[in-house]
Amino acid sequence: MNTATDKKNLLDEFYSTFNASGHQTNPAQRQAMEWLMTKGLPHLKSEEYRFTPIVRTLEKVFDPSPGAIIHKNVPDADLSLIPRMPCNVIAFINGVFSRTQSIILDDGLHINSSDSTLANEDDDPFALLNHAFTSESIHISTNEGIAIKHPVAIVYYFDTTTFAFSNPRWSCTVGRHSSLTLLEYEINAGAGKHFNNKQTDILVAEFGQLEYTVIQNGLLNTVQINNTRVHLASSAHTACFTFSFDGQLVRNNLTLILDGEKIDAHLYGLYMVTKNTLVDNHTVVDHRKPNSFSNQLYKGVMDGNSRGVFNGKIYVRSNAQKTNAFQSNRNILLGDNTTVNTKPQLEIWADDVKCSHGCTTGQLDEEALFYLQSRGIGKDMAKGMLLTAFATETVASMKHTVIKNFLESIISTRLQSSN
Amino acid sequence: MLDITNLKARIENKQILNGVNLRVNAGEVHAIMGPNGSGKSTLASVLSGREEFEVTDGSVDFMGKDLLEMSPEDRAREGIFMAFQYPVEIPGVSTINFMKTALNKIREHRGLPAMDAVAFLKVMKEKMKLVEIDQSLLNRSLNEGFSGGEKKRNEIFQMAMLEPKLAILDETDSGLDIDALRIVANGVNKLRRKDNAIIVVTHYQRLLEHIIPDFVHVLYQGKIVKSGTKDLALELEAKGYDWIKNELAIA
Ligand SMILES: Nc1ncnc2c1ncn2[C@@H]1O[C@H](COP(=O)(O)OP(=O)(O)OP(=O)(O)O)[C@@H](O)[C@H]1O
Ligand SMILES: [Mg+2]
Repeated sequence: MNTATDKKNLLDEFYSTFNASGHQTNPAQRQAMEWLMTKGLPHLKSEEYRFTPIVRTLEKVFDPSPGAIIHKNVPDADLSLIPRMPCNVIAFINGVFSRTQSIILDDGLHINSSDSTLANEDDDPFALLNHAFTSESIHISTNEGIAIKHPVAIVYYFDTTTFAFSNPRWSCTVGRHSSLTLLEYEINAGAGKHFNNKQTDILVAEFGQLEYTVIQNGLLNTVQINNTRVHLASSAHTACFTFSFDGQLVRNNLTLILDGEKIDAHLYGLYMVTKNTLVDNHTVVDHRKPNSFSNQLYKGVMDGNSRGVFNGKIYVRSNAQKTNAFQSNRNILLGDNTTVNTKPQLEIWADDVKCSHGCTTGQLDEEALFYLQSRGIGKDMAKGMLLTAFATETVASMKHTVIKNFLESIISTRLQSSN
Repeated sequence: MLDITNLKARIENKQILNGVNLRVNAGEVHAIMGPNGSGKSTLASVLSGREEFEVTDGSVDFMGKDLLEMSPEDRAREGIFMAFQYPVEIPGVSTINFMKTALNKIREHRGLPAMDAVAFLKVMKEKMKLVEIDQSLLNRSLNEGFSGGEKKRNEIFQMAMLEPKLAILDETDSGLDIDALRIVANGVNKLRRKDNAIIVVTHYQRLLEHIIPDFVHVLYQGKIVKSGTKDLALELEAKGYDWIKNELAIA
């Protein structure tokens, strides 16, 4: 078992905070906490966290006695990320779901809350932590055979002045033959640091379609753990997009379980960061049945002292014949102090499959840069053009054009220069 | 227009240009020939400002300005254009978009107002006809998946768009089929004016039948070792380079 051996012992702090908050009275929460105590937190030798010193980072920011969290009313406009885009809204204010701040625009879309979700003993420590600190789970669901018109925005709104510890949890079911767009982001209105440790389970039923976009921007000095599992049934189609633009430490665990045939699964990620930001994307694509397709494209543009981690696992189970599974991770290092650790992990038990993976990490293509300059385009502008072209490939196939345009403009604003 | 004096350049301690002298006046077409590895592309690269090459001696005057002092983009804005021997592929950047940016940067430098989308499209259509290039090609990522000939045609299309004062065509004929060669050569001829000049780097007389040069030079071991009229190209085609190498050995 992994146990933290650090002086301050974060696990003990979690434990005393847990007791002080009265969570131990709920058996499900108590169970999760006990499992976590046994399992311990990952340390740097834990394979899954080798490059990501999450415990060390949390020890620095975690405040076991956070100030009182005020759940005030937030104007609707303050919850929106993309101006003038009507959305259904699921709002978490300082880590706690707010029904009054949530908005349902579309028929056939339902929001329920339940207290009964249980953790699994073998869950990731941070998933256990989430279950220990939060009893309420929000469930988003659609009717069958319906296209939900507006995106569902899952918003984590923070406006504390002191440290906030947030463990939101939601799940989502996209009904048979239904389609849904999910957009998930944080809004940081306060100066307080926080640790947002979120947990999501999604099910896309037969012939369901899901486009799910996570935008991590304006995170300031926050620590994020983004645990997401997506179960896909036969003929489901899904595209998951993860955009990380800043934050102190961001860990995205995205697991897709292809538990049916003729599934189409796409995973796109872009981490475009600077300063001391660390972004770690761990993906798992688990092909359990024959005849499905998955494709992963993750790209990094690293500046300042930023670090990137990409770990992509592909499992092709023995009966998942005729699987097509592809993975690509490409990185451009702009700063001398930037690093990317990338590790593809393919485990294939079936024999009739097409799988490939590739990773590249390097500088901007000097030949291409010179070519553009030789046509009269200034060096900085040429760099911007090349980087923008590189980065926007990750959003190219997005169907929701408003979200797509929003992302393209973030990317080009960040990368382009007019000289 | 262009005055190259005793130009020497090296890369990674390897001396490649060993004192090139060349004068090109407005309205002229110069052909540069020479065996593989003699430094033709290096000369073109040095003129267009490639930083990997270190100029160790000599000077280049372009329309009264010190060319070697300028960044690659400023050279382009002043009117230098190089058609690459090996054009690079740039995923995600379409020829149209990047030409629009380039053209407006050059116009800005020349004190002209930026061209709007409509005007740009009009000019583009015109130039597309000149080199008989299809718009679908120009909408695609720059050179990505283009055939060898399509890449070369795209270079000449860009030349037509940017209207350089001095164009350096580095083996634009290689990889072109017979029809494409004629089309590209005709395009270049239509761009010939009294106030611009062209340097054509080629291995074959074939191209020079279409683009008739005023002067032909032989670059060998980083130096121009022989200059003449278009007849020199015919002589080279017939005899190869050995006689020149021999002449040099005797001298
Ligand atoms: N980046 C480089 N590093 C090392 N040597 C180089 C580099 N670029 C060119 N050279 C060398 O410089 C010499 C001249 O090359 P250059 O490309 O200028 O020849 P060229 O006359 O254009 O030949 P070709 O007719 O084959 O195109 C060659 O020996 C080549 O290997
Ligand atoms: Mg050459």
